Amino acid sequence: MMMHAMNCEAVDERLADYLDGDLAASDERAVKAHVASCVRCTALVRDIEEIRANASALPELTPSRDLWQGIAQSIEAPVIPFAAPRVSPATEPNRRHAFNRVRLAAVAAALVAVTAGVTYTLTVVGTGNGKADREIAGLSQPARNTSTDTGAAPVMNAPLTSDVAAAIADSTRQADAANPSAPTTQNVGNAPPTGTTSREIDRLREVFTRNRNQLDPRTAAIIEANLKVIDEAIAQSKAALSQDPASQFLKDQLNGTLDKKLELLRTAALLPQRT
Amino acid sequence: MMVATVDNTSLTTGRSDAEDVALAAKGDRVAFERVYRAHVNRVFAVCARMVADRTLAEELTQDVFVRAWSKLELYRGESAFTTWLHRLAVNVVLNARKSEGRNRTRFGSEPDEVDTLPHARSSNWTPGMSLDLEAAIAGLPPGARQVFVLHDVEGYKHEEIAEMLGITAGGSKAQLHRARLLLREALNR
Repeated sequence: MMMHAMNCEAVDERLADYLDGDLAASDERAVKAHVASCVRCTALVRDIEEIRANASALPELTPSRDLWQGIAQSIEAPVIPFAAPRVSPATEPNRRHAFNRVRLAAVAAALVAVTAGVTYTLTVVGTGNGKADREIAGLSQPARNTSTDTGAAPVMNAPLTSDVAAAIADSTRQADAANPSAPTTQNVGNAPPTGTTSREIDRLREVFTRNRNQLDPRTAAIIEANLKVIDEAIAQSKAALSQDPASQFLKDQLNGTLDKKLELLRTAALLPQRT
Repeated sequence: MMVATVDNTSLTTGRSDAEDVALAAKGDRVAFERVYRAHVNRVFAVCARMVADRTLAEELTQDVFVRAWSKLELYRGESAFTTWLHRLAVNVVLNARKSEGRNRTRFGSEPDEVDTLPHARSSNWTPGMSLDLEAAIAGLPPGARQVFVLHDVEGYKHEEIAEMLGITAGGSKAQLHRARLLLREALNR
């Protein structure tokens, strides 16, 4: 069979397949013939083959420290039971500790679903005004929903009563003071929750309790049930943190859960104004 | 893939990997520590080369072994344990990369369109100078680096890489060729 001659450009186009042995036989012969007669392509193929050979012979690498300690701590972390009865030691199955993060992640996922559900119920179903997006957005920036706000801020259906506005504005000011870039419990960053966050929660809880009788009993019951779930998650995160105080994952879980509680309480505090 | 043919034997106890893995799967932490010590350098190497950050690679290596502990009972011995563990390591790295997309600096924020690499050496390159090659690999754009490490260092096939990275086999081949040309340029400068 007659072999067609190749130039450097044609070889370049086929080089990857040539090096991996994926070229048709005729093309492979043509590339090989060109490479044998071309200084530039000879050097190119030789260098790449050397890189391949050296790469496949690279040695193992050693970490700068013994990583076993951290691994051992992780696999020994206690299991945090979630809404399940305690099993007595006598009947507890002899099995390896489950991975703690999985359970907490499940709690987090449940919280997200629960909070999203209650937000949807309260904003779309509850008001029926089809402005869920705007209102949900507004809840994350409650202090900006005042009469002085004429810009692009979310619109509320009714003016806030003074106590609700004060509580929300106060909670936001406290958060802003702690960290101007983060309006919620993000202000605590990587640290456990601060007194500021607790005060925010207490204040909003008071407002919700005070206004509870203005709400539809079913709506109030949903909020109470979800607050209970969140409180359980907070308690579990705190318990886990007491066992593993350095865990960034657990700190993030706790902060995220506190954020959810704040968001739900802000939603609850605003409800009487909207219905 | 290349590592599938490797079978480790504990130098300190004489037990085979298979025995230690079987014990660890039943909850034997001492056996699992032996498994860790037999494999940590290789797992760390794949993590370090894929992310080009040794500190991050140490965290990921820990994650790999924690996940291995929780998944060991699912290991059926259908492939060599080394293969199973390496695949787990690659998945941990790739999943971490996805979840860390918001914080790209940890994995290198350099754009994937880089066409040249920093100097990998100061003298003429001699084949076998692995330190230079390590430095040059670390300087590759992330996509090209991952494919190069998986194919030319770890021995995965393009079809396997395509599945892991969510790209086509042709895309993997193109990234590999680009990586090799970039490395050649860096090493020959």
